Amino acid sequence: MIKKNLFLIVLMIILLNSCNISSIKSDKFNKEGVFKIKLPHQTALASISKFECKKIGDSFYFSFLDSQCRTIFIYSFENRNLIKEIKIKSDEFDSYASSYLIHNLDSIFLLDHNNSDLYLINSNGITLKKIKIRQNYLKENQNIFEKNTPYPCDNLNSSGFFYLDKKIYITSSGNELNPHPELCKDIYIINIEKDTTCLVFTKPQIYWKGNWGYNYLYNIQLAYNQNINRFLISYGADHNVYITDFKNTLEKHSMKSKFLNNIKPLNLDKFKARLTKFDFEKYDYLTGSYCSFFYDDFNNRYIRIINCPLDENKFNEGFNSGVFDVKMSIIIADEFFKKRSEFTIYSFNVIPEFIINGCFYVLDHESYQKNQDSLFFNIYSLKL
Amino acid sequence: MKIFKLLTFTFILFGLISCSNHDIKYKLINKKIKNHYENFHTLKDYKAIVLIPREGCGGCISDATSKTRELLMKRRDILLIFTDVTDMKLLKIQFGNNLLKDPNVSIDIPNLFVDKRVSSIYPQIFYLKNGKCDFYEIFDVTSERFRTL
Repeated sequence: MIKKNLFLIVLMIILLNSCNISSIKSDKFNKEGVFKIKLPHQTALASISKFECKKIGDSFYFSFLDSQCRTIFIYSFENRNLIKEIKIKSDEFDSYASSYLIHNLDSIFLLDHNNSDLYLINSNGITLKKIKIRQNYLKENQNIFEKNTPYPCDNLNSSGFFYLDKKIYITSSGNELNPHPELCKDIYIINIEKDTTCLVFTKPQIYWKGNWGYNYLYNIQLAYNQNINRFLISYGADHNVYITDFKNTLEKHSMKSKFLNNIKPLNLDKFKARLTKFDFEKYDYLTGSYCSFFYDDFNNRYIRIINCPLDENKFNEGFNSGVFDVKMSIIIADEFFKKRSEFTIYSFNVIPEFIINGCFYVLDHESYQKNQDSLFFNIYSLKL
Repeated sequence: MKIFKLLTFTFILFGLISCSNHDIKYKLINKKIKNHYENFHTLKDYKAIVLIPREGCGGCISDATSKTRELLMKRRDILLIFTDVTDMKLLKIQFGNNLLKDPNVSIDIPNLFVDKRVSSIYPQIFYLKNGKCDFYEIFDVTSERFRTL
């Protein structure tokens, strides 16, 4: 009787703990604390397009763009006080499909995904400059455009929008089903002084043959390592990470996941009829993909996050319920791309919104549901 | 003649199958309506339910909500359900507490209507007869059925 009750108690404890989907449960993570930000009354989490945490001068600033009220809110990272509200004055800017990048507290770049427009605004929200990205091409790029022109879009999960030396670098989307992938270039460079655009970085050879679905396997991630002054590019289907200055230098290093040994394009012979959304989603989830990529400047290391392949039963359950039970994997590599660790995590969300001082800041949706006047980020350091 | 008979048979067979699929969807919709409102009897005086998903076609959702809000001011025989609500705060900011407190408005908290067999990215309208749905379509105030409601 005692054994039976003990068993039920243990089972209850396990079940109660498994319900907390916002916390990362792993011996690889130490929870260091919670970063809590008081939300303005007119802002809800669901209307926030993007978060950013950035060092400007000697201080860090946390910010987000609220699409609903078309405002960028900027907080002091140290004392969490709201220091600026920048209401975007341009009526043309589509805040619902957008991103932003703070250059300094009086110069902010906005990216309108739908219209492929780049804006520079000041701290009063007034437009100082507007560049139509897909129109202002440099002459030498003209021959690759038209059918091979993707959309500037800083993509899924981590950052794909950088400012460096009067140029903006943005990843792109839209060349997924292009019949000539060998002609496709994936990164936009916009010269802010000259108002010109060029497309650089040819899609890697892995994509030159085969159909890689519609979404996750084509995901492009961009990071920047200021120590070596190089950009790093990661692709959803490619084990390699590319290091380049977009001029003369190009290297590649493998950061392969042990869970993605069988990464292949879609087998089109299986499909006699037109491919459906279900077919593409099934391919994405059953194949797995590289999703996020970060450079951790505090520890001088690289972090790659992987969607591990799902089995068919779990995919079908997920497709019907709308929630996929995906296992994630995290690769940590040193500055020479030597793999130091790869470990899995069973959690709904391990992808950090940003990494500061080596710690992951992971949005806690559950805490927000309990208190919708604040945002909560769980802070985790990695144990290696 | 044989081909004609075969074609006729095939046509009838597909017709029967499609009717049966249609019936299934109505059964599902009515099951969910009953679960949401507890019984059909309480709905007998209502002519329609407008179902608005919070995730989907943003412009359509916003448009449908403002049109339904106008409708609710003029007629009280239409109900409104918000489904797939992930952020109540945003719902209140966008539509105000007054709309959400209206007795004809409810939130599908258990997400009964978030079911691929029933749901749509577009707002839908379920026309009622004695509390049960007997016809549904994408919500459009210019539709003939809606104009004669």
